Amino acid sequence: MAMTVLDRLGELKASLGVSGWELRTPPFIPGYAPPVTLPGLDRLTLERTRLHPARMPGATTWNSWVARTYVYREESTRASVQLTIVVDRESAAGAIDGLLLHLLQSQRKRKFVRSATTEIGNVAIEEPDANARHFLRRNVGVSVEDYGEAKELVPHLARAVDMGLRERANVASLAADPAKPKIVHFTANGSVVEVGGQVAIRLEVDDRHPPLAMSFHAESGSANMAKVPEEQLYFRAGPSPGKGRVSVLVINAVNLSAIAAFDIDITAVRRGVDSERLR
Amino acid sequence: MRLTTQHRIYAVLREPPEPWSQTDPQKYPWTWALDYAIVDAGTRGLADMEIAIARIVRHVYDEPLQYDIWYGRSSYGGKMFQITDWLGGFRNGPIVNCYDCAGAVTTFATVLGADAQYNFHDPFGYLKPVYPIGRGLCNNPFYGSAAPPYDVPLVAQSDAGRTSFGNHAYAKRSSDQKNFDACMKASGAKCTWIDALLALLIALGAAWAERLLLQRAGWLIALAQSDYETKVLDASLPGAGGHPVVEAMDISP
Repeated sequence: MAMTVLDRLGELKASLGVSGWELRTPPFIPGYAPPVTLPGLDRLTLERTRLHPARMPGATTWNSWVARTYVYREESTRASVQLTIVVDRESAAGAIDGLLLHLLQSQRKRKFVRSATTEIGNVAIEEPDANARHFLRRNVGVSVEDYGEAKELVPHLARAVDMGLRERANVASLAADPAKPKIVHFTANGSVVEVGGQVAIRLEVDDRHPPLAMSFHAESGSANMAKVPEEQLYFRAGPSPGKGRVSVLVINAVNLSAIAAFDIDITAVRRGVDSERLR
Repeated sequence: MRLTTQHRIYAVLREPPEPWSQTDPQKYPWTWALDYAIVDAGTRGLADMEIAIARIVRHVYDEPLQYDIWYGRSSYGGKMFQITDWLGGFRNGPIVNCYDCAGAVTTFATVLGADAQYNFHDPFGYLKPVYPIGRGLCNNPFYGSAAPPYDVPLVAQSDAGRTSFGNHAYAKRSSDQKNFDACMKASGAKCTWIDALLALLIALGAAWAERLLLQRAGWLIALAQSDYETKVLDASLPGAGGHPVVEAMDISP
């Protein structure tokens, strides 16, 4: 029988008994990123990080979770390990989906079972055939995978990350938490633009955990960044009059995110009118 | 007032289908993607769709990338293809899986107007000895994370610890259902006078000769499903039996 990834996600959730996981209620953890040096793992060098796609294919809405992979290497032994952190900006539901989808995005045939112990995380997922640790602590999903010669490192790193999560102060709601980036302004310089016309976008974010990563999604037009004469975000309307929409997702260094959107009217070109004045 | 402007014009084989769009300006064919698919992949001037996709496959496979021998995990989003990270110099690193290769082939073939679609095949099964992208001959693709003595790329056919592809993804043309896979190469045929003749025919302009020459060299291009499976899938062992399913593809700028 042919299966899609979403079919497999449904199967995995059923086999792990996700509906019974008591993670959905507060308190929540206000984001997490591994510190530059992890306790007891100071020989590890962070090689690179990778943000995973923030939308599902074809979807116009953003995932509620952020998934970021941190690739570490221990130069003296050439051991390598990948740590993936999944943080949901609303509750634990998205973190569960984000973590399980991350586990499924792999060609290796893998077997996952719910761990009977709570040595790490509130819920741990065991993988008998691999040197890996996966768990959820409240609204944060964690996956640690051996990418070569990391037999001892994997459990060490998993424990260190879980310790870090336990030490973070919990909050009753993530909605207005100060650790979350706050989009103060996300508007176009004008409520109307002609077809094919361009209008500047004003984006202002208040955030305590830089740097910020941003993704845009535009309907009936495109959102982009002009480099000259100066850096300026803009919306360029498509060829048809109607309603345009631009949404933004901002993600800070602790993997908390915020979204905002604006609508704009796209009108037909009026002869004799200088479209420049609409900018 | 006279105004002189400069324009660069790209000619493609047909209107680029999904994930590109003619109505959604965010997905108008990007010139960056066109440069990759036309200039970098060497498809300039080609009129044959099949050969154009074949050259994209060859170009993707020859990139400085390596198959993820530990888990077969995606680094470039697969069907939610992280095109900017790919085109920006492989910002997510050199380790890829078949989802990434299928995403790249589909994205860059479709920007030329090819009718390529992303296909997900689950379950897939054991591999015949093939050359995964950036790796040597292998019939045990996850030897990086396999316990000894199975931590080597080639093992005996019936070894108990041999690893297999739980699933796989590749591009397929919708018009004739032919497969194109840049994640691996099959073992090629010995170079003979036939190849020399084919090379001569290519020089004389016979596009079909290029397809035959590439297939003989092991490139997984323009293959019917059964021929493709014959080349890569070790069907003598259990685990196979899935079928490819077309999945929606998108680009993540």
